[in-house]
Amino acid sequence: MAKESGSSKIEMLEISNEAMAEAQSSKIEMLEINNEAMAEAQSSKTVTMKPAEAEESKTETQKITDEESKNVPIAATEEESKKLSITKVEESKNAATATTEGEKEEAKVSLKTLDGVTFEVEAWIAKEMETVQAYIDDTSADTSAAIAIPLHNVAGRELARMVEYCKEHRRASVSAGNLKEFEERFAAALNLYEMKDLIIAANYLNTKKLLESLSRCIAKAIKNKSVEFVRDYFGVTNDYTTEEEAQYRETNAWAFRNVDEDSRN
Amino acid sequence: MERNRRRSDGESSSVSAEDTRRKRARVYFDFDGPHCIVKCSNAGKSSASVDEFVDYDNFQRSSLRSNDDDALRSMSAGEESNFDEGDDSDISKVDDLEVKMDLTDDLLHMVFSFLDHPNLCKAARVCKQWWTASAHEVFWKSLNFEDRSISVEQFEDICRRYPNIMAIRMSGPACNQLVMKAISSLRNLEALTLGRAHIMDNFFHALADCSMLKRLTINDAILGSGIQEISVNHDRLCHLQLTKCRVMRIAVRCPQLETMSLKRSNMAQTALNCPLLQELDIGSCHKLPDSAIRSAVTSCSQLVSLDMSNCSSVSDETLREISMNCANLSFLDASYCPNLFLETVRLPMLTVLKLHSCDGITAASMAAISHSYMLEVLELDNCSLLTSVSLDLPRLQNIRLVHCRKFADLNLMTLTLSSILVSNCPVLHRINITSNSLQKLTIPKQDSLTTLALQCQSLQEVDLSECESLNNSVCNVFNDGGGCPMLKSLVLGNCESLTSVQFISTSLISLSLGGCRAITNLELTCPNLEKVILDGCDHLERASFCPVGLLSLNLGICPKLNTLSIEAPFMVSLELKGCGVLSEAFINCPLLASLDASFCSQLTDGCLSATTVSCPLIESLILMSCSSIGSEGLRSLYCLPNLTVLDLSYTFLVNMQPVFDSCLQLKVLKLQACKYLTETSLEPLYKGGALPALQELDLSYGTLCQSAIDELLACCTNLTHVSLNGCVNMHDLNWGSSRGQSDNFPAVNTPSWASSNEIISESSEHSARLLQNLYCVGCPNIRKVVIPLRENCFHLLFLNLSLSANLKVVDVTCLNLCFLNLSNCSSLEILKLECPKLTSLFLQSCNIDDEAVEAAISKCTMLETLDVRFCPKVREQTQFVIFLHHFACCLGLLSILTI
Repeated sequence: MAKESGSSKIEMLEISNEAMAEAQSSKIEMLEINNEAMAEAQSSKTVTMKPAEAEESKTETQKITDEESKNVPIAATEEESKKLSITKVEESKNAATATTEGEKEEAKVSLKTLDGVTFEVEAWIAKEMETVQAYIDDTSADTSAAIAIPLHNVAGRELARMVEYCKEHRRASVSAGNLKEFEERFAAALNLYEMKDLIIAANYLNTKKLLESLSRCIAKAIKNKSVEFVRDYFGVTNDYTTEEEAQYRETNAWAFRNVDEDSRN
Repeated sequence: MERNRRRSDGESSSVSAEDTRRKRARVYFDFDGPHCIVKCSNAGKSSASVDEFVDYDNFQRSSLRSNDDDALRSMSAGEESNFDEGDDSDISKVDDLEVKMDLTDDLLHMVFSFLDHPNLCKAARVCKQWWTASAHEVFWKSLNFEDRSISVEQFEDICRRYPNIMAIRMSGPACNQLVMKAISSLRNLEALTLGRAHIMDNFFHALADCSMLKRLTINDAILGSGIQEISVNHDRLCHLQLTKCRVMRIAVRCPQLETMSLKRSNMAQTALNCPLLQELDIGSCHKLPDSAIRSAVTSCSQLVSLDMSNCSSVSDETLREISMNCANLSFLDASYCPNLFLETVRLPMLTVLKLHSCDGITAASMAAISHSYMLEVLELDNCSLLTSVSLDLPRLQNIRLVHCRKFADLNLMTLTLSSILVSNCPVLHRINITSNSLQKLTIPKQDSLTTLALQCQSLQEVDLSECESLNNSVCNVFNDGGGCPMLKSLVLGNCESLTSVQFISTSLISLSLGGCRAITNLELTCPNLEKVILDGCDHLERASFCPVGLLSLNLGICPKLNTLSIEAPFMVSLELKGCGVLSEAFINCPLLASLDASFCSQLTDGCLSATTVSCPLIESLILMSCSSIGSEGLRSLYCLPNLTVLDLSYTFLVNMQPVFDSCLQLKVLKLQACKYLTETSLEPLYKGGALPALQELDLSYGTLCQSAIDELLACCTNLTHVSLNGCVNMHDLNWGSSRGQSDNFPAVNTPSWASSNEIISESSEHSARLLQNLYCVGCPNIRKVVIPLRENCFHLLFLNLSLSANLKVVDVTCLNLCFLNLSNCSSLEILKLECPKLTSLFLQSCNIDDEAVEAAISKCTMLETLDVRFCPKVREQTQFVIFLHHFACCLGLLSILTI
């Protein structure tokens, strides 16, 4: 089959060559035949090369996937450690410069956390934390610049995350799509314990945007889930008696109908 | 394990909770002033929300704003909880609960604000603290019981717990009982929505007791027992909707009512006592007689909007009476009213008029419509007896004429018209529009349209596709001074009655004449024209573009074009491929860089000379199959100093000397199928040093002899791409002949052989070949390809010898060769490859055995693709397949194709 097609192509080329030499009046037709022959030759090349290219691209895709799966955890770990170290170094540098330069003292606010870490944050970030802002408003400008505000119930890790959230939130507020994507990415990076600690800290410092974002994530986590799942998720002890729970179910039975079997409990 | 860990977390949270409590107390003490400010702002917000009707979604958001106030309430509620006193264990329990509530009540409140009611009830079952948090009143302001089976006792319990509910939605058979409970228990109810129920008379009797109600919606219900009159008496109701209800008689007495809808209800009698009513919708009330409609509508003197579509009993007398009583009526929808003629009706304040499918509307109705001088929107879809529309409305903005079967004449004197939709009017033949606001006119597929008159100062886009009766006079409408001075885009696709198109316009930017087969003459004088579409203009004979602002023009496949005149100051690319009878071409494009005149067999030397003078910047010139071009034309190419690409394929040239004299800077030269070139026509290339910058040479299907080809390949060391496809005189690609192997040269030619040998030796010593791509596809007389290492073919990357049926020997030593194609070389016997960088080898349909392939690829360590399909000797050997698998495993062969 292939041999016949190959020989027919060769014959076609020979016929076209001879025909061109014979008559000028049929030039256009012969040109079309030649073009078709060349097109067929090129298309045959293309056909033969396509499977190879496709397989090469697949192989490359697999390579990329393997590299990604291998490198991601190491890179993530390194990035996290770098961030922490950079944050500490920056904070120490900022603390040193704050004592020497007068201009920065007006624009920066010092926050001291429960574990003794001092943060130098921008004034607009401190303004987002309404508890801190109230403290600043309650004291004079000179004293607030000199003394770090103590935060007895907030750890350094939580405060670092809150500062990061405020910065990224401001950057992502340009468009609603970016903002939603950022909030989802921020929440996905937290496990349950980190989210609990962060929401408690955000509640204490009254950072409304972060508080609303985290509340929405927690509500999403428990929506359409069973009661037992929620208890385990939050580590809550069931202090209902059997009779009390049965009575509540009976009184509010209208809300539990038409619920999926998986989430019914 | 995890539970123990969580318990320890709970303990730590308890400790931190205690600290938080102490800190919170201190914070309250220190920040007493700001906290008072917060209280005041919360009070203001709560008072605002009471006045407005708040639906569920909005209330969820507002609950966040009142978080602080509710948190305080929640704490006080916690303090008021009843606990047993006496035992120490009870006291410790009390302390523990208080600590937990202090810790997370406000957080729970915020989390719960994002939950709907079923999830809220489920959360309440987690523990008693969560139950307390979920029971806050702000979560239960707006309830939705549609499609929920709730008993009367359960509903009563909810009403008792949350007496300040403001909005309720419910549906189903038990609706009447539930709503009676709601009316008697909920004193702040503002919005009530009922559906798919049987509403008894007692509901309407008790409705007056629900004093705060503002919005009542009943949908798809049976009202009352079906015999007595239903009375809706309420002093404060503002919005009433009774849609798809079955009721015999209805009476509405609501002094504050503003909007009412009785759409698709089947009552036969209605009495309205609503002096402030502004919007009334009685559409599709089929059983309502004309007298009832009159009495209902005329009793509302403040009416602004009236929808009486599908009321088949409405007549002109009805509208006349309505117009006398409702002086402020501005919106009227009288669609599907077949008895409406609108001949003597006067509605002076009307702004929107919809008359879909009103069979009585004719040209005479336009006189009445003209009296509505405030009219802005007019819809006349499906008015099947309408023949002409002639309107002079100073404020008309939008008009629709769809599916008007007898509509023939459109005459609009409406300066503010900005939107017009005319569609499916098969007999429309005349359009006359005067407007200062219309910017876009799209009237496609009007087969009968013959006359078009436009006075539109702001018109920018016109689309008249498939208006097959449009004739040449339409061009005058769009020329300068023709009424559309701002026209930018004109689409006349498939207007098959156009024969001569002449446009003189300074504003036109885009013109589409695709599918206008009858056009024979085209004259465009549009200096700003940037885009022209001429696909399918098969009968074009004369074309003039003087001047146009085109950057590129494609006049390909205009087989009858014989006269062409182009004056385009900005044109860069011109394609005339296939204009076989083009004989006169005047091209004045100073910036032209690319000209494709393939198959222009009538193009003469004089024309080419004139073009080269007026287009000095041409870089690419394609004269394929221009059989009338001779030496004079080629000599004029000296006027093109930037010419780099020249295609003279399929011409009858015998001498290339004019090209060598005029185009010293040429880089690409294509001479496919130039069978009349003499044997010595290319000698200046390899002897005289002509075209020193030449890189790409195409001699496919030529008749050059072997010696000329050898000389070219040996001496033109600057060539990077050479195509020799189908050269019958191509015998052997033997680049090893410089040392020995003189069998191919007979003794008679010994002197020429000696001289060529010296030249080859000399050139190889001086410089390496730059050849990268070599194509010898379909050369039937090639038998041997030998490329030894000493020939310095360092740059050869791509070698294609497929379809060379007599090829027997391939011996290639190229250090950088990547691609080798020997497909369909059915006589191949010997294959020797020393190409360490070869990645692709194609041997499809080659008559070569497995041992030869094995020996050939053993030194190709970077091979990625091996194609040995349809090789009969390879397919039968199992051992070869094993070798290939071993080869693939060891050397990383990525792609192997065997069948």
